[in-house]
Amino acid sequence: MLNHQDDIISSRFEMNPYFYGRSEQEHGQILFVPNRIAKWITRKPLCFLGVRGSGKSSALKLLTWDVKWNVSSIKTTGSPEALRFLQNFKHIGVYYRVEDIDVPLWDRWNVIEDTAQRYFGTYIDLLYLDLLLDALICIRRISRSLFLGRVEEKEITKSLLKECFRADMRPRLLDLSFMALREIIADAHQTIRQLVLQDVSEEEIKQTYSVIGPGSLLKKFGDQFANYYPKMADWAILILLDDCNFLKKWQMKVLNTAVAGCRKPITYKFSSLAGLYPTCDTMNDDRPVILDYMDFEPLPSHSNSFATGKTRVKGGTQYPNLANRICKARMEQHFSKEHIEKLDHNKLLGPFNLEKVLMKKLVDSESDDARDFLDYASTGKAEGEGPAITKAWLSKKSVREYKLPIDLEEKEAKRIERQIASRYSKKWNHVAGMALCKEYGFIFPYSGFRVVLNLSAGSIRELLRVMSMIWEEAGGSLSEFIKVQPIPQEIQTRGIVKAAEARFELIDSSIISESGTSLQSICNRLGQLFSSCQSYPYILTTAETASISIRNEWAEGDVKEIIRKGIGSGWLLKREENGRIFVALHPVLSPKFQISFRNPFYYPEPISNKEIIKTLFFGSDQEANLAIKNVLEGRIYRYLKRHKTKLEASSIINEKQGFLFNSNPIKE
Amino acid sequence: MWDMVSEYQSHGITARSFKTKEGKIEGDFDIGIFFGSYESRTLESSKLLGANSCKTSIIIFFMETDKRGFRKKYDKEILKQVSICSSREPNVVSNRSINNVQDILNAILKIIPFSEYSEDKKWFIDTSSSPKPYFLGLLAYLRDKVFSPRITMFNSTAQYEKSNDPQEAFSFTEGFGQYIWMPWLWGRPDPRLPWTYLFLLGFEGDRSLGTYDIFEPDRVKAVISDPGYQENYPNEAKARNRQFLEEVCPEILYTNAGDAVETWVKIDKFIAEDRSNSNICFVPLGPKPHSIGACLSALTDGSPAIMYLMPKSHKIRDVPRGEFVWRYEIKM
Repeated sequence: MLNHQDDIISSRFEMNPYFYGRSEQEHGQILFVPNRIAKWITRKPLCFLGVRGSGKSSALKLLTWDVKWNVSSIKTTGSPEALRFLQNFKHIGVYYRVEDIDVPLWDRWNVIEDTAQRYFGTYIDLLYLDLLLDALICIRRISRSLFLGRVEEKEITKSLLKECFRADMRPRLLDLSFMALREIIADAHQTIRQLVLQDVSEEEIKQTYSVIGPGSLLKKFGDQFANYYPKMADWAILILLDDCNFLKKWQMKVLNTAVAGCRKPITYKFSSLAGLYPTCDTMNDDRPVILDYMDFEPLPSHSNSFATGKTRVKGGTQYPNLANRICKARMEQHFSKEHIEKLDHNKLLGPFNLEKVLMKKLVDSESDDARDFLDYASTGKAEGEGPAITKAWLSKKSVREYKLPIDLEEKEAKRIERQIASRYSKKWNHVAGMALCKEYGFIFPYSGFRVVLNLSAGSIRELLRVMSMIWEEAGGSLSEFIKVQPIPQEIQTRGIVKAAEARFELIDSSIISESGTSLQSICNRLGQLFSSCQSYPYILTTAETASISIRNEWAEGDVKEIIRKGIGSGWLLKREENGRIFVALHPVLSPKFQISFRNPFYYPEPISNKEIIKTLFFGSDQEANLAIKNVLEGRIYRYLKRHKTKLEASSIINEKQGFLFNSNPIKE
Repeated sequence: MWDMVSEYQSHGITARSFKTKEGKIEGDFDIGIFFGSYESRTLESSKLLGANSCKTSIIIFFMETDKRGFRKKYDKEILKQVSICSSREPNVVSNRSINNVQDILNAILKIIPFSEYSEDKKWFIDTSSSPKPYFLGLLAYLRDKVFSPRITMFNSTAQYEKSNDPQEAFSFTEGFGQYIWMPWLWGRPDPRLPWTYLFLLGFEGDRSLGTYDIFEPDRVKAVISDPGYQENYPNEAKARNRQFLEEVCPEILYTNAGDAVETWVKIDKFIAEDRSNSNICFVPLGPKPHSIGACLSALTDGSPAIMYLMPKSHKIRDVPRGEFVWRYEIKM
């Protein structure tokens, strides 16, 4: 018989404050309230866009009624002004996350699309009415602001019942209260879901429930609210829907229709992965798209480089501040205040000084070539002199040399020099560092809080993952972690590279083509391509290439599907502009391939042939290598074309390819 | 010959578990359901049943075959054995893909004569080589649609290392396919509540972490087999789920890999509090008896859901039976 000993054992693993997911489960979430919250709680519908882990769900959860009335396990932190604003603003927000596992089941429901849309709209309206009634019931227990007399409550209940159910299907409630109504409504949306999952016929579902127009039930609720709570006329009712990217186009059209038709006090706030908002179309011919009725808010960076078109708007939360606050909040959950009161992650990881870390690498190196180069750099052989390592390397390789015009006045010469140097260094120093490390066999010294922020590309989740690896590498205890500030660069680099490798291992490796490719192998190929683009001689063409650019119409079928899958799972980033699609690896993977940690969209590599992209994604390893080679040759050809005649370029490419790799580079 | 190991009763469901090394399966059944497979342990149940013990028998032969000839060999044998233990010619469901779960379940249910859906009928279901959605779907259907069924579920334990390359011994599937709710086990989630996911862990750590990564549930708990089918299996499972355990840090429950009833008891206790304050989703990635235990827990009040991650494909190799076979007697 059973031995009733205690078989439930808590985790035996040591505490790492940055482990993603851990804090939420053990202590309740802490959400950061940004100062921008004032822009979010407006009456205009809004959609948060961002990469995975950028704080979209957190933004929506901040707007919920239970956070406002302090009845959830979620705690908030932020500036006093932001916290005060959140508490004082008059809103009731109800949150729901799209159940992505239900979506295909709705999609498989064997009825015509029109019927599916009508019942999906009904289901969503009922579901949100359930949540709103629950909010009213709960808030009334803690605040008198939503108190109503019996007669008024009966009137609202009757009116909503009438809106929900056709006369012949309307349940008779003995108790016309919000509580009783909520139970009926909950049962209704549960049953619709069950009927759809059981794939019942249109006739059967019609006999059970009548259809409600998208958003009309919520509109009715809003009208009743405004009518019976005149003192709350300036309140907003926020319908919060998370992860809209899981919805199919036909489902999103239903929600967009509700958005286009909503009126005071109801307003919708959505979230979606950037680039995957299913559609802006509605079901309504008078208002075919929602773009004019809705704002798009990028999260969390100042200007979200992954958003496009109208969705690219200025604003957003200041990511470095947010990141620093969240890292500190994690520490506060695990350690006493006295140890971490003055902890600043900027100082803990320190600044990133490229020249300094490269110099150290060269000094520590045992390679003769590296030491020769160090001598070259230190003895002022580099044009323009000075100790800058990257400048010396660029000069030695004759990459983008510049010469000042002669006979300039001293002041003017200095101004032009500053101007050129500024452009020159911004564009080329980082990539020179990457290429130099590859040449001398170093691992690029990724380190510093700014670098970690860049690698996380706006994803708090990725930031925490990288930080957790640095924590482990630093010894896995608070005393070791904060012993030396900044944490030594070697330790940081080890943690960052390990985080990249661990993340890479998680990419789906299931086979998706006959030649045996997978999302993981596609990421690997892109990584290798970008790594080569950021090495000599391929950097001659453009600096910091870490994305490809293809024509919009080529991203159809399998290509479109795999890009979508890559974005959905967070491994790829996409940007659309002027009829082209730009695809990059998530920067958190960059250290695995020794790619620059900065924005990957600075210099996209244009792919000029549809077949190359197909081969790169779905060809065998051998075919993909040829495709990569083809792209790289194209880069060199473009470089030569710019600096030589077309004929010379062709002849160099065709006859003396070795020249590019073995002898001195071509000077401008 | 059969040792009773566990017994439990809740919400009108009674279950007892038995194990044996060599015992026969006594008694007669109204319906017997068997699955063809490339694993030789699929032959165990029909070997242990008495002659003519099943009135109506159904064998499912999935469309997917193997190049190594296991299916060809074992399909022939199981058909012969089931013919012996059936009083009528066995019904065969074939030419359908293993991924068409609902379609195949509908085909099975259609074959069964209407009279067999009446009260107190005895059902025999072999789970040894059946993919989880099939036997869990049948169990849920019987709970929902049939009055007072008496179900015997059979499971043969396995020795995974015996016929495999050690590297591959604990890897059974390839790739992530679609996530689905198990048929009739989609639960009744309350939109007001957060989700608690209970991962029933197996050896494929990438599937647990991958699933967590996609759904990001609010709370996570996990079940690990201990004791396992073999002595070294619990450590193997922990090692293969290390990243999941470290990153997610779930509260962990240990339970016998072969005992569905013990698993049910412990899961009920383990999630008692979560039932009232969250939606529950079971994610069965480990031994089949654990998934039966979770299913029984879900069927008590119908509110938890059970998720299934369809693999892109299964790794083909023979898996022989382990030391024990188990049967679970369930009355609903």
